[in-house]
Amino acid sequence: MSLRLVKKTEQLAEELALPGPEPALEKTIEWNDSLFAHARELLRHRELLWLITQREIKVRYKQSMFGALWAVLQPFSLMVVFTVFFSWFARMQSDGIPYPLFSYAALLPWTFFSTSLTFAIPSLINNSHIITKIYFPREIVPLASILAAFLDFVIASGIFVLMLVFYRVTLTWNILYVLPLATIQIAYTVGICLLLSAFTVLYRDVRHMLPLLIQIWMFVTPILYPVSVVPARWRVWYLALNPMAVIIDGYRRAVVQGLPPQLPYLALAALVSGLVVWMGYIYFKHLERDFADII
Amino acid sequence: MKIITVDQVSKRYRISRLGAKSIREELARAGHRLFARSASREKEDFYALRDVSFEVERGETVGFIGPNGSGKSTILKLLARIIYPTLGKITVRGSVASLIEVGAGFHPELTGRENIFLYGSIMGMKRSEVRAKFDRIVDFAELERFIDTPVKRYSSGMYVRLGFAVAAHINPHVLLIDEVLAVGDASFQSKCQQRIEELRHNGMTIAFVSHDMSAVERLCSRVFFLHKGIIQAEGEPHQVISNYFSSLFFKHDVDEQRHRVAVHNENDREAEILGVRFLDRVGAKVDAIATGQPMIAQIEFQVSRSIEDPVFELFFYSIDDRLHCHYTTALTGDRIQLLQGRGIVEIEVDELGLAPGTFRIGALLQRRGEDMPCDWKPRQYLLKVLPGKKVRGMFYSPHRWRLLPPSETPKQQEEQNCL
Repeated sequence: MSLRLVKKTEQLAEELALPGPEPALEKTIEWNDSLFAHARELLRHRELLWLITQREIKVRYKQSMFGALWAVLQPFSLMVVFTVFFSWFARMQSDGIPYPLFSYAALLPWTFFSTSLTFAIPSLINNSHIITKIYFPREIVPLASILAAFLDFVIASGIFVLMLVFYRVTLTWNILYVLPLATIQIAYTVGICLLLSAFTVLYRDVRHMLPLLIQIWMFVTPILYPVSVVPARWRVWYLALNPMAVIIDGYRRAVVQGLPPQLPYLALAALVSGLVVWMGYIYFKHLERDFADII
Repeated sequence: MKIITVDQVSKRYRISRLGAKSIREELARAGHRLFARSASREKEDFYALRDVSFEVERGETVGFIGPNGSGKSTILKLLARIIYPTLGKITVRGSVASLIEVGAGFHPELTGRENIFLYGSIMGMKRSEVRAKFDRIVDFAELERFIDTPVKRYSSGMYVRLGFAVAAHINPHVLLIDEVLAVGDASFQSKCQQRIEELRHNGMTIAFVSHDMSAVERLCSRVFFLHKGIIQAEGEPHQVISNYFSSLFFKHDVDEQRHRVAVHNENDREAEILGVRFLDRVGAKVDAIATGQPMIAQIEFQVSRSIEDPVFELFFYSIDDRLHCHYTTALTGDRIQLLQGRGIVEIEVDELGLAPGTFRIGALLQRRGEDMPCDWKPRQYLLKVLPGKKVRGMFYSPHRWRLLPPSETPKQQEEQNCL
């Protein structure tokens, strides 16, 4: 009773109050401000980023029977198919690791990458109804897609832990390399998604190209096969040109084989990822001002 | 303190640039451009706004009026930072909530509840802040029963109600409203206007685009009249709205008039209305008269040959184009005969019944029983009615009250007999 009374009074006080304090005199963020200013604005909107991520997850699994189970089913069923066809039928080598473990260790981060691309790149177009009606830092939209894919990645990792136990894999300290590997992968993913999602607003071609791009990319990355099957004289270019190859191979070495990743290539991948995310953000912010006009 | 500063802002669209293209189309265009001259490129340009500058003080309610395509909505979208100016600079100090078109950025798959939180978050509010206001938002939108239904199942009226309720309760520093209120039903519209009134009194800055001139006149402290992306007039609402109407309807009405009178050959036009003017009690010419005050209206005319038994009529249209009042000599006047030359006919009203507002006056002269008017000036003159005798409701009518003496009161017994 008294609680309700207090609440009522509070409500009344709020109703009578002026709308907010005197507006701060600080300048609002301009489109041509520095990346740090944009990043600060993004940080102020972190609650929105989280909310849109939740929305993305909800919308994705609403009206689907298995719901979040799809996050596990996708890499897991691919692992089963790969094991049957590539390991049993085609006798693919796997550096002496049991093939299910071998392929799932790579499919897990790969699914994170491909899901991010699939959802983040057309995300701006799919959210045009918000973009044309209200302002917020637009990079939140593709970032939310990536964050949602990352949550899928975490869920699907649960199965991987069970598999590690099942196959009695002994872990070494090298497993800690997973943290820098994940960081580099996220940076690379964010960069690619910022670049391509903004580009998709201008040219819808990207949307049609995307499934093909992801498929080809999967084959040039060591998921079905070990890096050791690539002929030695091409291996340098193979690892240098595709950061995803170094990252995926790195996960496998660090977790399953107990080896450190190939560090010189990883350093290069880190450099490329940093460059991509930096350029991607600049390009995105440069195009952002025209989104509502074009989309 | 200036909360909005718009400094020499232009917004240009390249017509061929609108919308996304495929890369193939783009290459084809680039090929064409190699051969085309630069002049053809300028022809594609379309300026939604041209060199617009203005400032808004904190706590003002400004309205933007103008015909379709004049750039009103473009201004709001620029202020909301949804689009970016081609030239010039816009500064808005503080948070902005915008209600542009129906829905204001709701996600169709999510429920009303989820959308309220999403919208609040887009406006930069914390979850706890939204939660504190949640009940009042739902209450205002009258959507208690449907708050957990995905908004894709909402009717457009429900959409607008939710949109307005959220925007009007999250206390931004600046609230932008674009024509959305026209969608709701009458009771919700008046509720919205009441809420806007409240927010105004609380010192919120509001920018408002509408074709509903009576709402603009009632709510705004300052009005901008836009035409073809340029501010044509700015200032006190009544003045600017009159200005707008005289520019807009003059053209429109002259067309209409020409159409109607064209049947009569210009040369043998029998009569012409030269003007309508309003006089007060002492006979001085005025633009404004208060409700309940006496009014004298004069119609000045010219007749080229004498007319037997003509009828004069006077029409009072409100700003939203409803006919509020009509006087005709066919009902009350004596039989008139007009001789060749100029003349004035006068109507005297003891107590003006119109409620406060701006009215456009039409005048008509015709022969009794004929369809075709000799002359017809539709909505060409203006009269401002000021608040005088207090009116609640549509109109004031002259009246007398009387308390009946007890002798005239019927006895209770008689009443029972009646039953």
